[in-house]
Amino acid sequence: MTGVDKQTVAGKNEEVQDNEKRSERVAVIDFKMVTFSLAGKDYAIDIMQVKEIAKAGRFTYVPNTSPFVMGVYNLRGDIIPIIDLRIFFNIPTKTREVDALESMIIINVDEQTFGIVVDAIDKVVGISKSSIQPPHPIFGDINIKYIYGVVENQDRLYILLDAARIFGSRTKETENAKAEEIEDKAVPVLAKQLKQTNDELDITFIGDSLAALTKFYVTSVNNQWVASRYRQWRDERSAADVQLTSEEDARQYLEPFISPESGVFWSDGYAAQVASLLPANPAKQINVWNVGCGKGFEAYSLAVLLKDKYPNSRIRINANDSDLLAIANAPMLTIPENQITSRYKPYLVQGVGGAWFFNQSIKDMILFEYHDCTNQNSVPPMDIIVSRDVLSFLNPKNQTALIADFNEKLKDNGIVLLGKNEAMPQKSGWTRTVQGDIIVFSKE
Amino acid sequence: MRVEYINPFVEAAYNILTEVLGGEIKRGELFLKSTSMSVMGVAALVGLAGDVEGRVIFDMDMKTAMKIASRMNNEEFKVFDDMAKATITELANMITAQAVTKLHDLGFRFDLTPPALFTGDNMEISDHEVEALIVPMETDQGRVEVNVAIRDRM
Repeated sequence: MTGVDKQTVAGKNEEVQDNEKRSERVAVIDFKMVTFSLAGKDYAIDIMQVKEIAKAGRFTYVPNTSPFVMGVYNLRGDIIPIIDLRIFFNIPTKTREVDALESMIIINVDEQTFGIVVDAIDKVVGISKSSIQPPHPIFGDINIKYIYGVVENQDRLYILLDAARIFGSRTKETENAKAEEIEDKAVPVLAKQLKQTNDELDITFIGDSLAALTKFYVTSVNNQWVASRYRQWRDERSAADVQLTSEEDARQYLEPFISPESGVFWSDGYAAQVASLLPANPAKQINVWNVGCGKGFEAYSLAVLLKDKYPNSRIRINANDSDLLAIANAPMLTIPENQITSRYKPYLVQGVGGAWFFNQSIKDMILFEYHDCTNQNSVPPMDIIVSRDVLSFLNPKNQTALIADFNEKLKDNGIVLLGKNEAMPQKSGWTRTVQGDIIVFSKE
Repeated sequence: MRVEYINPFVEAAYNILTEVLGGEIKRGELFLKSTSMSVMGVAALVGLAGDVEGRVIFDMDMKTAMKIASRMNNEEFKVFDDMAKATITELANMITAQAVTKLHDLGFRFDLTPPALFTGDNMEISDHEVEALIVPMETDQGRVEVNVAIRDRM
């Protein structure tokens, strides 16, 4: 074939394709979308979800909302939330001028109206629904679950967002996404603090050192304690010696963190305090989950305490720890003579060698398990969860997961006892009851 | 997993392997695993039922399985034939049976199912909601992992 022939064939092919394309374009424009740009890239939303387009600014700030909520706006009498899509999708934001007007798309999802702020609104584009292609996982900027598809139109590639997914009613998936977000947010919060004071900078460093040296993770569970401990620490040490440089330093720093009566049988005073916080519970069966029971002191102390507190109920304690050496001897734990008080005495028997053990009725209450609470927890619904100084030693992701597990496994009238210096994250659906040194948490 | 269950399995695995293989058997660090785990190549599975529910898997690679079968039969196997398979199945049976006997003495009652043998490459076992205790055993023939997942009936 000669070169000329090739060209004409190629030309014809193009013509045929062009004709086909044109006829297709004319034939079916069954989908219209509003296009806009974020950080120079083109995006689109189904026009059926768009109520109108507006320019506005000076939104009313609402405290304690997610960072992507810019505030609320009065749209002809309707108060609507305004969301900044760039922050929502973690796309770099241009610094705003204070009174500048923002381009807004007002959308309707599930009969709710939202305003979303974008860089610039482009136009309305009509396409054929069949030309929408499924999203490809490499569209990295935006979580793929928020993308409905990708459309090419006049040499421009539009990413079609799924507004229902973004703003729709909360499914489990979005809950999870939210948990991730909360974690993500923790970092910028720290970053912000960096700018504030040297003290806070030091605390951040100490937090990092604690995580590296002792696997103690600073999160909303314990950050109040870490900050107050820092002030005390700073006054004790010379200025050059504030940072933690060794495991010994870290251990000293954490020394006051550990809850009272750890690794020993609870004293009568402490047990009485805990008992006073337990709600009356007429149930025949009371389930207790002792997470991180260590060598078993805590589990046995609880067993004796609960037997006195709920004499008519059958009590079952699921005690677990992921330290095999500690828990391996828990079922056969002996009680040193000097720790025996009149409260424990009735529940003890003396073994052959003269050592004191708990009697069978106490042992039958406790099920010691070698189990890692970051794995699947298969426990029945619980009345009491005791998890002292456990959460702080899990990484933030596992902390969130375990707190969610507590929430799921705890009965509505149940209580959670955390370490002395630990607290459930605020505004997460837990109420606290304080009694002296001890705080218990219950569902709101 | 209930603390009382751990030792019988560790002891049984150690005793039986020492008995049938001779040589030095070393026990590795025990650990827990929850997500799906890959199988090295040959896996013998024994189910448990009664007071508890669960299963025990004996996991090893093909080379180790061949060597163990050869050692136990006192003859060199060239292919993993029925005889070799039966040998590995029997090994699984012996270890689990001894463990269950020990547990029986401690007052726990449960039965075993006949062992099933799985062979193949790139296999994975996923059992939902079960945490497995892994007991690694180093033998002269290679590494055998005893994978115990049992829990009390609730």
